[in-house]
Amino acid sequence: MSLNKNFFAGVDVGSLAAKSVILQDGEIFATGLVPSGVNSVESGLNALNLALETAGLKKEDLTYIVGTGYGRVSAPYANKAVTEITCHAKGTNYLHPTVRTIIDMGGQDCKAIRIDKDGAVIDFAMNDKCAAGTGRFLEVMAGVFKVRLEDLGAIALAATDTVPMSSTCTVFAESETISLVARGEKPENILSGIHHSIANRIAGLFSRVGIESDVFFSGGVAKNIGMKNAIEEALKVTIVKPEIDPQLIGALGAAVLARSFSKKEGLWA
Amino acid sequence: MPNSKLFKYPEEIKDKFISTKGLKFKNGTTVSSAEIWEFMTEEAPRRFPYAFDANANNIGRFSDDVHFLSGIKRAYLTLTFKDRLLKEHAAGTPTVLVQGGQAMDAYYAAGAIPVRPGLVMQWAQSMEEGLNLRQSETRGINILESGRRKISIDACNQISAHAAIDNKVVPIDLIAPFLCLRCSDMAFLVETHRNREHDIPRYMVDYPVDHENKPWAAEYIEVELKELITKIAALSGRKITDEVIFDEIRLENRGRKIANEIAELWWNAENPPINSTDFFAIAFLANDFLGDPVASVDLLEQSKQEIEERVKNNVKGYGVPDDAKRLYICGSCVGPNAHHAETAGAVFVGRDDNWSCISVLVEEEGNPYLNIAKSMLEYPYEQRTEKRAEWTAEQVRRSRASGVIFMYQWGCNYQSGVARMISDIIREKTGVPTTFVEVGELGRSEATEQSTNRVEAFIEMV
Repeated sequence: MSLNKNFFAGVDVGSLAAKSVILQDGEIFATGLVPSGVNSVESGLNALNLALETAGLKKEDLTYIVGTGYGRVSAPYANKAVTEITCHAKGTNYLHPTVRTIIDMGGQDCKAIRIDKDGAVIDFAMNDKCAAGTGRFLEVMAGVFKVRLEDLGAIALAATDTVPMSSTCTVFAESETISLVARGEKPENILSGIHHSIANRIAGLFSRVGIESDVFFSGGVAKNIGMKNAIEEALKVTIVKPEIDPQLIGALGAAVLARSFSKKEGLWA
Repeated sequence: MPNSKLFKYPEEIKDKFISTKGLKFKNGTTVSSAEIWEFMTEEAPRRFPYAFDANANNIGRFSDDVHFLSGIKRAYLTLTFKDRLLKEHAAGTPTVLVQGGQAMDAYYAAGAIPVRPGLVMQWAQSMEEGLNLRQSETRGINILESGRRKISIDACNQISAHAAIDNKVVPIDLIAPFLCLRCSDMAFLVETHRNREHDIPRYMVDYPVDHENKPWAAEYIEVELKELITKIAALSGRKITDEVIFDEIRLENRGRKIANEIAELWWNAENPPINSTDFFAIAFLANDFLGDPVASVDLLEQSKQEIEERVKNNVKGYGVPDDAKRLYICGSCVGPNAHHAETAGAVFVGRDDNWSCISVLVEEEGNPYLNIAKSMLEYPYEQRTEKRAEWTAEQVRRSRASGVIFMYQWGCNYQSGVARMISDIIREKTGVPTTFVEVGELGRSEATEQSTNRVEAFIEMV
C-alpha cells in the first residue's frame, strides 16, 4: 500500500449512528453519517465508505484510521481504537480551541468532559442510566407523542408551562408521561419538563467535574434545540455554536488523532 | 467471542516448573510441582474449560506470565478449591459463610473453613464441570436470579452466594458473618437467612459500626468472638485453647507480613515485577486464604522469593505495558478487568478493600480474643468515610499511583453512597485524578462495555 500523508480518517460507531470524517492536510475533507445497524463492523464501514465516496477516494488512500465509539472494539479497518471521550475532546479542540467544557449526549450515554487548551481530557463524568439524557430516552419520548425525534426540541420550545418530571428510568418516565397525557397536560409542556429534567441531571454530572467557559455541546442530541436551551438554563452558560454537525465531533477527533498517531509512528514527517 | 481460544501452559516451562517446591497443606499433605503441572495442563482444562478461556473480556482469566511460576500454583489453588473443600467437609470440617474483608483467624482457629460470598459464587459455578465460559456464566446467572426471585430483584449480585447456599448447591454448615457496614449484601443476607426456613444454623456476629472513641467496642467484639468460636467448635469438635488461637494468629500474621513485603517490593521496583493479575492474586492470599492458610502462606513465601529475584534482575512482569499508568483500585467485590487495563496502558498497584485486613497485624501475646477484636476495629475500610479515604490516600501515595478508580456494583447501597466522597477526598489529598464507576458485572464472567469504556477513557486521561 502506498502511504499518502494527506488523508486521515476517524470512524465513530455509536449506538444509533455511525459517523466518519476524513481530514486532508488538517482540514475536513469529507464526512459520512449512517444509522447504526446490528453489525457494528458493517456500520463503521458504511460510514467510512460514504465519506470516501464523497471525497472520491479509496480506502487505500488513507494513511491512518482511528476507530471510536462503542463499535471501536469491532473495527478491523482501523489502525487504532480510542475511547469517544478522548475523541470528543480532540474534535472539539480542533474546531473550537477556546472550549474547556464539553457536554456529549449520544444514543446510549451522556458525558461531562473537561479539557485543557490542547484538547487533553483533565476530568470526565459519565452517566448512562437511561433517563440521564440519552438519545434513546428522547427516542422513546418521541414514540409516546408520535412525533419525529428531530422535532421534539422545537415542540418543547412552544411550552407555556413546564411539567415537572421525577422519574429516573426510561420506562417509568414513559409511563409518567402517558399518565400526564391522560390527565390532559399539553404535549409541549410535558416535553419541556422532559428536557428540563434531563438538563438537571446533566448539571449533576458537572457538580463533580466543574464548568469552565467556553462550553460546547456535542453528539446527536446536541441538534435538539430544546435540549440546548434547557442545558443553557440549567448550567447558566451559553453554548458555543457548532461549526459542523455536532454528531460528527467524535469522528472528527478520531481523525485528528489518526493524523497525530501516524506522525508519531513515523508514517510521515 | 468466548471459547475462541483456550489458554495452555507451554511445555517448555515444564521442567523448570516441576523442579520447584510443591505446596504444603494444613491437613499435613503435600502436593508436588509435577502433580500441580499435571493438574493444570491435563485435568483442569478438561474439568474447568471456562477458566482457560483466553477471551480478553474474561474477568477471571489467569495471568499470561507463565514464567512467574508461583502464578501457576496460585491458579492451582483456585481450581482445586472445590475438591479441597468437599474433601475437608466430608471429613467433618465445617464450612462457614463469612463477611468479606474480615479476619479469618477466629474461624480457622475454631477448626472451620471460612468462605466469603465471592468464593461461594465461584465454588457454586464450579460444581458443574466441563462448562465453557458462556455456559459457566449462564449457570452463575441462573443461581443469581433464583436468589433475586426469593428476596428482591433489586438485590446486589452477591445474593447468588446465598441462593447457592439456600439451594444446597454447596454445603455450608454455619452462616456467621460480621455485620459491619461494607456491603449491601449483609442486609440481604440477614433477610435471606432470618426469614427463610432451612436447616443451616446462623450466628450473626455483631459489630459496632460507630466504634470510634468507644472504649467498650473491643470488649464487645471479644464477647462476640468467644460465642462465635464456641459455636464453630461445637461443629468441628475441636478443643479450643488460647494457644490454638495464637497458632492461627501467628500463621496468618506471617501471611500478612509477607504480603506487605511483596507490596513494598512491587511498589518500589523500577519495573513492576509481576503483572496486575498476579500481584493481586498473590498478595490477596493474605486476605482470603482460599480454604487453607498453610498452603497460602507457603505460596506467599515462594512468590516473594520469585519476585525478589525479578526485582534484582529488573524483570518486568509479562503484560505490564511500558510506562504503565499506575492505578489504585477502590471499592468492594468488583474491579476493572486487569488484562483489559494493561492492554490500554495501565497496571494495578493496590486495592483498599483487600489491603485493609492485610495491613493490620494481630497482637501475638495476651488475650487472643481481645487481640483479634482490636485488630478488627483498626481495619481502615471499616472506619468512618473520611478516615477510610485518608488511609486510602496514603496508600495511593505509597504505591505511587497515578490514578484511582472506585468501582462498585449496582445494588450496593453502601459503596455507591461513599464512592464520590472517597474519590474526592483522595483527589484533594494526593492531587491524583480519580473516578468512580458503577458496574453490573459482579459474578459475571465477561466484562461489559460500560466498565471497560470508562476504565479505558480514564487511562487515556491519566
